[in-house]
Order: sequence, then C-alpha cells, then structure tokens
Amino acid sequence: MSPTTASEEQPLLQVDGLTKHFPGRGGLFGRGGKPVKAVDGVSFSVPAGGTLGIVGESGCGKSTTGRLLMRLIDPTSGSIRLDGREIGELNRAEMQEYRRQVQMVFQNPTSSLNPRQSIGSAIAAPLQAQRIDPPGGIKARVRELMDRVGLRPDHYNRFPHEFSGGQKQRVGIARALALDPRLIICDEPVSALDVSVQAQVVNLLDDIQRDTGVAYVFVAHDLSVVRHFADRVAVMYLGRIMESGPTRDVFGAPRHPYTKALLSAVPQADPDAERGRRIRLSGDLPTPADPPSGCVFRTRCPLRPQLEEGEQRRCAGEVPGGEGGPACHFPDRTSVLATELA
Amino acid sequence: MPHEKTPDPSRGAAEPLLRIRDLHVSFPTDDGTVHAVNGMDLTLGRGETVGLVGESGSGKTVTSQALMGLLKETRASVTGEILFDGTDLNALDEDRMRAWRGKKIAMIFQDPLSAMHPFHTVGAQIAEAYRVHNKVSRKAATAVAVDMLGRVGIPDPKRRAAAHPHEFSGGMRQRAMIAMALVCEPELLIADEPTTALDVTVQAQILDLLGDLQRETGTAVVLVTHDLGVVAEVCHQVVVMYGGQCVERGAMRDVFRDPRHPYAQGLLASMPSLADTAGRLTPIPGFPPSLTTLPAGCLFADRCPQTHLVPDDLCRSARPELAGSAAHPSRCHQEVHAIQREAAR
Repeated sequence: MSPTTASEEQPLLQVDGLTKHFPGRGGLFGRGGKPVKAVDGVSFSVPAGGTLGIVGESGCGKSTTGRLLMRLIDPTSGSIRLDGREIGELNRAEMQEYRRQVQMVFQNPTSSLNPRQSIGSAIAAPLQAQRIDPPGGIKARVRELMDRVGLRPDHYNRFPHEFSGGQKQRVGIARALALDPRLIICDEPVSALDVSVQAQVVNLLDDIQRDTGVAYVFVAHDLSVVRHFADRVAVMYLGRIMESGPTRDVFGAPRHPYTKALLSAVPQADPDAERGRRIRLSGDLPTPADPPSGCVFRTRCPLRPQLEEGEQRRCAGEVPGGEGGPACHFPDRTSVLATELA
Repeated sequence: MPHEKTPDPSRGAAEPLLRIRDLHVSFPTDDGTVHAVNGMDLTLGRGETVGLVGESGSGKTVTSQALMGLLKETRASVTGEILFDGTDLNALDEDRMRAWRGKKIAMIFQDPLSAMHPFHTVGAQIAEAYRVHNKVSRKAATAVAVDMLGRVGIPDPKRRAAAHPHEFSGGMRQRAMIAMALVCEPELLIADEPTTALDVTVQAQILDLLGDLQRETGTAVVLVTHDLGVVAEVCHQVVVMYGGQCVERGAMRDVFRDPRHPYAQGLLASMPSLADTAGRLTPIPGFPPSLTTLPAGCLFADRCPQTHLVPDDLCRSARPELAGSAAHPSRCHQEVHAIQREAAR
C-alpha cells in the first residue's frame, strides 16, 4: 500500500454507504425477527493526520462503525477504502498490512489488558504478532513507547492492577502506537476516566498526532471532548449520519434539529450560561429493528409541530443530504428553532 | 393528592435539615485500613440542593452511604455526627434507622436496573416501598404507586405499573426509581450519580424532572456527581471533595466564579467546554493519593502547582483546616495565611 501521488486530494480513509445489519431475533427458532439496522448507509472521509469525531447517543451505531473500520466485524454492504484500496478486496497478506496501519484504543482500559501479562509484554505483543524486529530490539522499542506516553521505564515488569485507570489507558495507547499506524480508532478512550486525568490523555493524543501525523477516528458521546479534539464531526442517530462537517461549523451553527437538540442538552459548567434553552426531545429512541420510514428522526423532531401536513409527508419520504449536508428537508428552520426558544 | 408540601415557617432557617460534622469513615482491608472519608462537614437547609463533586475515590459515595445508614452493621468504622433534623443518625441502631430510611431519607442510584428487583413489577415495588411506612391496603398502595408513576412522567402509568424493570428504557427506569424514592415524601433525597449512565438528552429530561418535583415537594437533595456541568445546572450549594475531605464549599455561583482551592481551580480548568475553541486542556498532573497511606500534609500537595506560595513547606507537613470566609471556605494553607496576615495587620 504505497501512498499515491494524489494523496493530497485522496483522503486516508474513505467510507461510502457503510451498512451493518445484525440478524434479528424472534419468531420460531429465533430467526424470524427483523434485522437490526445498527449502521445504515454511512459515508465519511478522514484525511491523513486529521481527526473525525463520531458522536451520538447509545445505540446510534457509532461503536459499530468503529468496529467495522477495524474489520472486527464484516459490513453488510458499503465500502471502506484506505489510501484508495478497498479493504474488502485485500488478500491475507494485505489484510495483515491493513491491521498494522489501523489500530484501536478501547474504552475500558482494564478489560482490554490481560491481568496476567506485564505492561512491557502487553506493549510488545503487537510487534511480535506482526513479526517486526525493530532496530535496537523489541525491549528498546517498548521503552521508547512507554516514554512517549508518559510511563516510567520501571513500569515495564509491572502488572495492570498496579496502575490507575489513566495509566492503563496510556498502556493502551502505547500498544496502539507500537506499529506506527496511520489511523487509530479511539472508541470512547476517555469516558471511563476522571476529568483531570481525561485532560491528560486528551493532550497526550493531541501531542502524538502532532509528532507522528497519525489520523484519528474518535468515537465518543461526550460532545465537549469532541468539540475540543476533532476537526470534523459526524452526528449519528439510529445508524445514520444526521449531519457532518467541520466541528466548528456543526457545533457553532447546527443545521440539523437533532444536532441542535443534542447540543442544547449538554449541561454547561458555567453558572452564567443561558438556561432554559434546552430543546426537549419527547419520547424514547425507536428500535433500530424498525426505524421510522424516511427521516429516522421525524418521530421525535422538535420541528414537527411547526410543519404542515404536506411537509410532514415529505419527512416520511426520501431524505436529502449526502456527505456533509444535513439529512433534513428543512435545515433553515433549525436556526429558527433556536431564536424561538431564546 | 397528599403530596403537596409547603416549607414549615415555624422551623426557622436557623436550623438546617442536615448537618454533618467531622465525619470519618474507614474500612479495614487486607491491604490496610482505607480512610475513605476524613473529616467531612456539610450543612444543608430544607428544600436546598447541594452538589457533592469530586473524582473517583474522593469519598462522595461513601459519605452518602453513611448518610443513608448503609454502613451500619458492616465492618466500616463511622465516627462523627450526622444530625438530621436534630437527631444523630450515626447514633441510631439499625432497627431505628430502618424507620427513617425510605420515609425521611431516600436514595436513588446510578444504575436503576441493579437497584430494582427483576422479578417484581415496577408498580408492586413502589407500592411495597409505600406500605413499609404506611398502614394501607395493597390496593390503596398500588393506586399511590400508579399516581406516582404518572407524576414522574411515565405515560400510561396504570399499564406500565404492571411491567417489569427490564421492559423499561434507561430513562424510564430512572423515572421509576425516582417515583419509588419519593413515594413516601422524604425530606431528603440522596441522588448518587443519577444521570451518569444516561444519554445527554435523557439526562436533561431527568434533571428537569428532579427540579420540578423538588419545587413541588420541598425535598432537599444531596446530588453526588462528578459532572460539574450537572452541578452548575441544578445545585444551590457545592461541596468539592478530595481525599475524603471537603476542600471547598460555597454557593454554586461563588465556587464556579471564584474557586479558592487549587484542586477546585484545576478541576474547572481541566473541563473541556462546548463554547471553547481548540487549544490545550489544562490537566491536573499526577493521581489522587492512596487512601491507605494518607500523607501527613495537605492531601492535594503532591499535585498542587501552588505549594511554593506557602512558606516552610507547610503543605507537606501540616493538614490545613477549612478557612476563609464562612460562606465560602476552602481547605488550603494559602487561605489560612491570608487570614493570619490580616489579623496581624
């Protein structure tokens, strides 16, 4: 996989129409149910050295998207291309190479480490799995990685239980860095950490990106962290992307009513922040096995009361938007929604 | 409905509903004694909301467990006073405590699924909570439960009362647990991370609900949380905890606008904000102290960027007391010194 000459236009990662349907349960023999549409036609791209945040609430498909990118599960349809190469078409050796270039950092640093494996050997494991013999030997490389993530050399022979959550997450990051990846999928990497430690880990990921030019796909439910960390963001709801674009634009002037509602629900640690502008979403998330037709958000949409009957019918039909634009028929009304509540 | 309650004016504002004085909690373990709470003080008036904030291991959950009497008849050692309406809860035995628990003080937890019985219907569990403290028939209690479910915003409460907890969504379950906690109209509600497991849009619904119910019933709330955003949203008072101590307390606005303790300052600075444009976050270096071997000096000294401002290395040799203004004190030697300097002048 050599970088092409057109790498400036060609993103590192290009995802088109990615879909994952899990077989449903129910019916006789447990096979009759409708498929659960966990991810349903998702498209985005990540440039080399860039960061894409994927945000949304539980069950929106953000973690499934991360696992699809890692090829931990196979997609139902759609394409994932790294450097323009379709990963579904890679042979065994090429897949091995893909796994070297794309790494993952998990949410729970405790369960992602083997309690009986020392920190040093946990970080060395990817090197051994890929049969890589770094100059100076594996031990030296591991020490260098530990230094990079802020672990002391004498931690080498210690075990996970001797570490705090933040330190364990550093081990997870060192292990992801071991193979010099070009893309790291971070699935809620800081949500299990306390705020003061969370800031340490976010800064570390930032530094690593500046030094190595690695790209991140940052899956998180914490909008403030994503606002801070990602250049671009995709907002997911019920397996689809509602809106995506530069984080500044999407968070600063959301065009999709769901984005707007999500942002308005985040409690601000500022006593003078404007209150009472929360957009309440009524009801619960529909089941992904039986999402509403047309716009999946229409059953809870705060714009709905303002829409006339004909307009509501449009929401039940085909949804506009491709990559970038808001998946909404009435994006201009979203800003009106704000002024009315203000 | 018998729920409407007005604050009793004969009980002046002078006597707070809850006053915790010098609370210490420790647990014997194989690795030595864990000092989870080390001299905690807290005062809460009727109908007020206080936020207990701090990171994992700061003692906020253990404080609320002690308050609820959940550490009685365990190996934990609890000393100090927990004055609730003039009665020292810590001195009550388990039998007496049981009469208070649920009736005057109720608690809601982070994970409603593990706090509810999976086999019994939601309605039956709420009715049972009511019948423990009120001599009424099962049928009457069920009616109260259905009414309560309606009040916490569960649609079609009569039908939903017959459902089991697993049939509820996370937000609905949390509503049902709030209904169970408030069914006996307690004077104090302890909410331990009530919205941490919920998505933000659902969290917003639950916080709104708690606020509405509190205004209606005049229940005081101790809100245990690590989320400063939630505190800013709903609390009147804030207690910042570190290493099992209150390191700063005051009115919410004062603490957020003018944090006195270096830890509180660090905590606020380390939070990413939605309004914030890109830039580096300011973490607090290091990790919280081990609760088995507490340092001799200030518990925050190892992580504090301001120890050089205090003479004689006092930060590492002496534990500071709460000092400063009575309404907004903090546990820092700098505060102690400022006072001494002013007194000398």
